[in-house]
Amino acid sequence: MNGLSQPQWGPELVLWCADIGLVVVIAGMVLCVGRILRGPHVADRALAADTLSVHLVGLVTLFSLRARSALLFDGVMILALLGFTGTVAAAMYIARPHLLRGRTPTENKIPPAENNS
Amino acid sequence: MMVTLISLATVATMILGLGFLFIGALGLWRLPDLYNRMHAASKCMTLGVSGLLLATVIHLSSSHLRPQPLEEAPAAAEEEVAYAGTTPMAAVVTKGILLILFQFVAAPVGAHLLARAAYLDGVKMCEGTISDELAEDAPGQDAPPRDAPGQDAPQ
Repeated sequence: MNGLSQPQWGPELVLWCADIGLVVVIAGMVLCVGRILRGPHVADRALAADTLSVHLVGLVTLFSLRARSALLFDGVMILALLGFTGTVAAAMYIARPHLLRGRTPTENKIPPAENNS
Repeated sequence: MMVTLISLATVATMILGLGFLFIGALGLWRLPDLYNRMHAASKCMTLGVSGLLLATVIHLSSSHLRPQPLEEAPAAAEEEVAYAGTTPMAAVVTKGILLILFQFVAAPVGAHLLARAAYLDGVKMCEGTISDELAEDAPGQDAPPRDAPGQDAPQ
């Protein structure tokens, strides 16, 4: 456990892997932003925003590992809560006219969504 | 030896989480349908973030085993000095486990709400969809207009 006389390649591997992981998470965030820009329906954009917030949680987690500080975990908790709240708010926003005015989209005046297949 | 084993466990968990995260993002970009994308995103996001959180918890809670850099811990450091700038181990483990539990609860709930809202809003399914059990259970109740030629003209 002294570790001072032996070569310690384990922590170096962890830090190197965390660097690679930051790049991977940022690549995933780029994909999420692309889906936000491209998504044909509001629900696609809301789902991509939720995924983006989850990626942000992973990014801050990796950064707290990289910085060897657990203080960022409070920020991670706040980010997770806000992401979930945003998803619920977006779902309520999408579903509210149908819940208010009748069940089927054909009965009310709201045009159905565009085909996104 | 102990440090190496803990580091290997950290790296394995981190690679697992990163793989799940990137596969989820890739599915979010590539899959043809909102429901398919939701299927990819919610599951992969839960497991990916859980992997990353577990890796960070393992790494941070074992930081007293590793030799600290000289500018962070002097040679004659006490235990409190070695923890300077970090929170103690119990707080890290508790927050990590709470975050993983919250992810496992929140991701299915959010995905379910969003899928229900999208279904009510009439998001179409892709070509290869073979079953729509919500429409079979209650015909005419919640069904979005499917395969109706005049319905999907944007207004």
